[in-house]
Amino acid sequence: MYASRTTQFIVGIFGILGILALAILSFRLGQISIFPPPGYTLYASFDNIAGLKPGDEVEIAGVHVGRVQSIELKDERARLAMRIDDGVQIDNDAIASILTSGLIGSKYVSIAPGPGEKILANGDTIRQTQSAFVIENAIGQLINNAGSSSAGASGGAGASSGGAGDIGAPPGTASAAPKAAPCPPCGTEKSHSASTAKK
Amino acid sequence: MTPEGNGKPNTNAVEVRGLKRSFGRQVVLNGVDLEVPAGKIVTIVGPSGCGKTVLLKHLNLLLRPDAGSIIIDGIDVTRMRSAALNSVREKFGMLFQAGALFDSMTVFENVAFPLVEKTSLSREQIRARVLETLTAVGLQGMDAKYPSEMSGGMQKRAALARALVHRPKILMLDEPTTGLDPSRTGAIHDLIRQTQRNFGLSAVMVSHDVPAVFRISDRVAFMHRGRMQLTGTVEEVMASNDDEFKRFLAGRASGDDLENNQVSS
Amino acid sequence: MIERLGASILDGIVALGNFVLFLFNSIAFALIPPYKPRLAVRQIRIIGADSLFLIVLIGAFTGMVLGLQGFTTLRRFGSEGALGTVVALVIVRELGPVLAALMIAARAGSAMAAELGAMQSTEQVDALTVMAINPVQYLVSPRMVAGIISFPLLTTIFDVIGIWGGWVVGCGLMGAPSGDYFNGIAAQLESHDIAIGLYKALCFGVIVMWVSCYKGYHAQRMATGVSRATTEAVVLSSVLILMADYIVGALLL
Ligand SMILES: Nc1ncnc2c1ncn2[C@@H]1O[C@H](COP(=O)(O)OP(=O)(O)OP(=O)(O)O)[C@@H](O)[C@H]1O
Ligand SMILES: [Mg+2]
Repeated sequence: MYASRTTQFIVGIFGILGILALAILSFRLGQISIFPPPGYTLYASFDNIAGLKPGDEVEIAGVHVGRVQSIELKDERARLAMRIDDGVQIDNDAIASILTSGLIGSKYVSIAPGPGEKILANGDTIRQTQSAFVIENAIGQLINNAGSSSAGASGGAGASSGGAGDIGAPPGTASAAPKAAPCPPCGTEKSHSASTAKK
Repeated sequence: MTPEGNGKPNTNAVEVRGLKRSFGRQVVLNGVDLEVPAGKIVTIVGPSGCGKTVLLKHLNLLLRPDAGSIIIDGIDVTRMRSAALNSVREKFGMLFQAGALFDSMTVFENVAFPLVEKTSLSREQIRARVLETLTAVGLQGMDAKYPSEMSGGMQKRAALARALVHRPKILMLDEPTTGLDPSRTGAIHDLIRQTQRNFGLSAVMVSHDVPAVFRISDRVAFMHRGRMQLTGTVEEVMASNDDEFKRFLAGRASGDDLENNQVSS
Repeated sequence: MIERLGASILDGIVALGNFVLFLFNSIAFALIPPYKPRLAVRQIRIIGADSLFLIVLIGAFTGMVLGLQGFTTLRRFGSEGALGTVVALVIVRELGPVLAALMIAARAGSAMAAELGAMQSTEQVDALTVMAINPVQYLVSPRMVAGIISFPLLTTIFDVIGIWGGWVVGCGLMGAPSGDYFNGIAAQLESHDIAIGLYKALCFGVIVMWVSCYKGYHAQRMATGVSRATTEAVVLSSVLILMADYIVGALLL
């Protein structure tokens, strides 16, 4: 009736397997970290993150460089903390945008490097951001742009749902975004939405 | 027959007064009185189905009576809660009519069980004691077998070994020799008597081995119609003129015996 | 007539009270000495370790089915990249705990009910009682402890195997992007999801042990009584598992 040595051994193996499975599930598959992951933290504020969640990926040119650590509401905007891998250099003119993989796929943050000289360090903020693509806004914009005829790239700033200050980048910088992130149309940038309208 | 006012209750290991118990409409115990003096063997005999097993199960409180009282070593345990009963039950060694061996354990483990659970003996001491007891009941070399691999009589003897092994103060044996051959029966009777003498135990035994069992009995109680029809020393009982008992001894059950289940209150 | 009805309602309430008390006793006796760790170890082997192969098998096929169906569904939306997320969340939050519990209820719960029922009908339980050993503490509590330990372990093993099973079919056979599969899981599978799965496994472990032991312990002392106890143990366990699944899921979301 009592546990023989064999039984104790088998139960021991079973326990190890179970704990191992939990470790694999949590740390290997789920990549849940108890300690702050290595790397440094950058911040970025968005008007709309549209379902981005902590744990989502941060990419440069489609390459994984970090994860979203936390999201908080600050001054009516969403302020992200992103943990960026050590060794990845991001300059002060970089643009962070929120993109979607696939039509209903998960959201991720794409960072497009800019021409800036200064490399951002732990605790710095990426100032130029593009909010998430929100389909309703995009449709509204399309109609607006069509209405304002072929005013072209210099179209009214009011058409942008992103609001003032979201994009302060010169056109040259902003054009880096589609190149870095070949993605479905990204909403708030006017030159970008104009090119969308042409398609 | 009726319990006379006993000034010294401590001389009785077990004392039962006016015990009544029915199952549904069937009255099985209808006012049983029984005394088991300390250090004596009391044998209960009676026709099959008269309620001997039910009585034994009341003595160790597996069943609760409808009325009457059960006194163990001077303590009235009739209405004791099961947690408190444990200290009383530790005095018991019970042999069930069907053995009730743990079928997931070997014979050795079964017999060692009371020692492992209730004593602080070392492994070697337990081993020695178990093997010695198994030898005493004639099961030497059988210790690694499982109950299902043994004959009915062997199971009975293993169960007896389990009931004796921790030298309980009070033995309750439900037909220890039923299903054994005559020579084995004699040997088991000797073993019970010897164990009882060596350790000064008190014993209540149910047996159908009449009159062989009288050889080792101090007192005999004849159970009939839910009562003790006749109690006394072996000599007294054998000398009695009770019709029912005579018929029982002679092996001629009356119609009443077979219908005793229908006794109504 | 009304009297009869009243009596049967009363009986029902008494039976329910007994059922709940049985749970309290089995847990309470696990907490007070004498402890029976070696009995619990033995039961972990029977409930847990011996179920391992079954759990791996069921886990693998569950994951493979999810990989196949998930892939064909997600492809319609062009979102094959989300396959890993779908498979992992569905398995970790729902299917892992539920299917593992149902399998163990069928395998170990029924065996337990039958064993306890047989012990009851051959007076082995009475034998324990006469030896001043509390049969609930000796027979039920170790099983309860073993269930509480084994179910979460088996469930996480089921989860991991299932996620890999989904990967083998979804990415290996159907051609979903393998990197996205694991990246999606890494991004979306949170400690909260894993915790929900483990809570559920824990609840189901208690339920299966509670129901199976109760049914076996209170089986009628005959062969049909034991067989009925076995059937009832599996059926009632399964029903309660699904009910508890909904309740825990709704509470923890
Ligand atoms: N749990 C029970 N429920 C209902 N009736 C019972 C129960 N246990 C015993 N009885 C009844 O009590 C009566 C006495 O049974 P018991 O087992 O005590 O007989 P016995 O004297 O030991 O007979 P035997 O010598 O054959 O062992 C029987 O008629 C039996 O039907
Ligand atoms: Mg009997």
